[in-house]
Amino acid sequence: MSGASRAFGALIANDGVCLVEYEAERTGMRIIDQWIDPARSQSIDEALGRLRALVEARGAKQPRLAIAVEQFGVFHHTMTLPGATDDVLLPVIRREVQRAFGVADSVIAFTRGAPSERREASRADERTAPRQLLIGGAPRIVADALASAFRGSDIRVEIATVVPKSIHSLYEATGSSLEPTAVLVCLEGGPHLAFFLDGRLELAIDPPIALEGERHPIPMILDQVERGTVYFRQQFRGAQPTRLLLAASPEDFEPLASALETRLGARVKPLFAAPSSPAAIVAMGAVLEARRAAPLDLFPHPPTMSERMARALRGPNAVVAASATAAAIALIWAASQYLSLNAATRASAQLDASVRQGIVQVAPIRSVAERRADVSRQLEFIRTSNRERATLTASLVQVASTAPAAIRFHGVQVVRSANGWLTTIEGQAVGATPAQAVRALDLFYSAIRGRSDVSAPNLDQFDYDSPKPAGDSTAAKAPEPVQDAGITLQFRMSFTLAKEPANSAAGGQP
Amino acid sequence: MTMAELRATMARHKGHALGIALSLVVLIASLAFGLNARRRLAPARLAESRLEQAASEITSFRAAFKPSTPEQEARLLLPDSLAVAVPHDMRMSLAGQLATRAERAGLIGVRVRFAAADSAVAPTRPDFVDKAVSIGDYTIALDCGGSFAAVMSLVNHLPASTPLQRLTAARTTTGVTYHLVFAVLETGGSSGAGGGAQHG
Repeated sequence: MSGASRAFGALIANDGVCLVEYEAERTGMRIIDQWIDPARSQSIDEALGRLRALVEARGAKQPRLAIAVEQFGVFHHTMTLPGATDDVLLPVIRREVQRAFGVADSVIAFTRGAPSERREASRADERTAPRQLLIGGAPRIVADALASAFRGSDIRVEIATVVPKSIHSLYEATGSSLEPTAVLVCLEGGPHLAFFLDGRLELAIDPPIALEGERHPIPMILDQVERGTVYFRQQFRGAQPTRLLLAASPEDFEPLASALETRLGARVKPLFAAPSSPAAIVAMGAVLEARRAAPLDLFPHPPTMSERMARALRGPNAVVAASATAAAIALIWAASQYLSLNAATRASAQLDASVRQGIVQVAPIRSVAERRADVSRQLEFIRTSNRERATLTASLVQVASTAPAAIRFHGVQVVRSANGWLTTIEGQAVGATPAQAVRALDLFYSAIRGRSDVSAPNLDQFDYDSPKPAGDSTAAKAPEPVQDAGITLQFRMSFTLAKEPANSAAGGQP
Repeated sequence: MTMAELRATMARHKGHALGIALSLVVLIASLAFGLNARRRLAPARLAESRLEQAASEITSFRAAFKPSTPEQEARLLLPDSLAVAVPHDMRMSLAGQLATRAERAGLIGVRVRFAAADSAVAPTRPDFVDKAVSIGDYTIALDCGGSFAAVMSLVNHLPASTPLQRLTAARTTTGVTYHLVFAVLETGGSSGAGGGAQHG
């Protein structure tokens, strides 16, 4: 029989190993099969070896296993302490265990029961309310043996708990009745007795010491139960169990049940409904314990990743971890910077070589392109020069043509300037009367000023004709007046002609 | 905390102290190394970007270039008449051309001579890739007589290498005389007369 997620429960003890395969159902658990290896084990390692062999013989892949451990120095204890965190409770529990059991080097696990608040409602605080602590412990060699027994196999151990805690889980599975109840489980190693009051496990009594291979007879079991009942009554203010849940081998069940009813006057009921051996029932108790939110677990599970992280980030380790993390981040950042730099440098080198090669390759066509550009510029320059001259000559011709008949030019000078052509005209205006002469000059000056290609016009000189000084060159060159009679005005005006043709009509004559 | 306590603490946490010291060394070394690399990274990326741009321009240039046909190549050789600058050695020839053009334009009494550079603003100098053009440190002066229209015709048909600097017309008893001053654009050399006023 093989399956993907088969689950088992087990009880290991000196005097045998019991393995139970079960299946979870909607209403609970169902035992499918059970195997018992009755051979005695001299050590925990031997017992665990037998258990591993039993499980592996089932051929299940990654089977889940819940173990209840009896004997081998495993112990159980209950305490009631105020509510506190684990790191506060653990030293207290450890001291108490050392005092009660005399075990110096033990592995301890504990779980919390229900709070029992006895303070007034106004002072009640669930965080600090006294709580029952269910404690399990084992010598360190047992815990180490548990850890090493399943190393290298695919068996997933869910839990390793103690027998009283398995009985506790079984009791809760029956409904956790508040009625004072005794539970008796008659294992091969002896009768385990537990007393429940108000649904709480108040007392768990291990079997009495017996010789190796010696079975406990019914009278001895009855005595054990009776002594336990008396102790329970003394410890818990006269509490008397009115019900007893029994797990015993089928041949012992009936006589034991009737003897218990007779002797104690309590109702006796089976602890587990299905007919099973007490060892198998305890194994199922371990399975039920594994399903609890906070089970009592002695198995040294390897720490999970989050637990490892939490442990690494505590105390001095936190400083080391923080500094190591910072160093790692800095290292990664530095490496990324270096890689980026390296990539950029390599890319630059490749691009540089490519560009150099490209320049060499385009040199001939670049030369052709430059020649084309030069020719283009040369032609453009010629066009510009021609346009400039044409504009100048056209402007001069138009200026000359705008002069009225009464205006005569003596001299014209055109000089290249930064803004255009600086033009100076010297001449005379003639009229029968001064008014006519002035009007003619005004017409001409207005015509010049009205031109769009003229800027900065200025009438530099304006005077009536008069004899010139002998040294005046203008006088030497000046022609005779146009008319013998009338008024002559000598003038000189200057303006700047644009180099480029004006957009507006060239002849801006008045 | 006393020194003894510190020493005891260090001894108790020897492994932790070693780990922290090692981490600090790695941290400092990494920061120094990384910062150095980062400082050099910006210029390297800038250079890379410029080279990428240059490579892109070269690629675009090669893609856009179309080889010339023989006819187009022939058209790139402009005739001398379209020269925008002449060698300095050709100035006499140039003066001769000006005189000939003046006479052809109908001007009379043409006189051509070389003169010092004019004080007028220098003409615009063309800018070419394969040859340097400068403005000659002299001018060509042309005196003549004739009609105003003939002078205008001459001005309109001057070679591009002789931009007009100055034109003076004066009426005298014998008629009108004209005085024209031309700058000369020369190929090669540098006269240092790129712009500014020159004395005539």
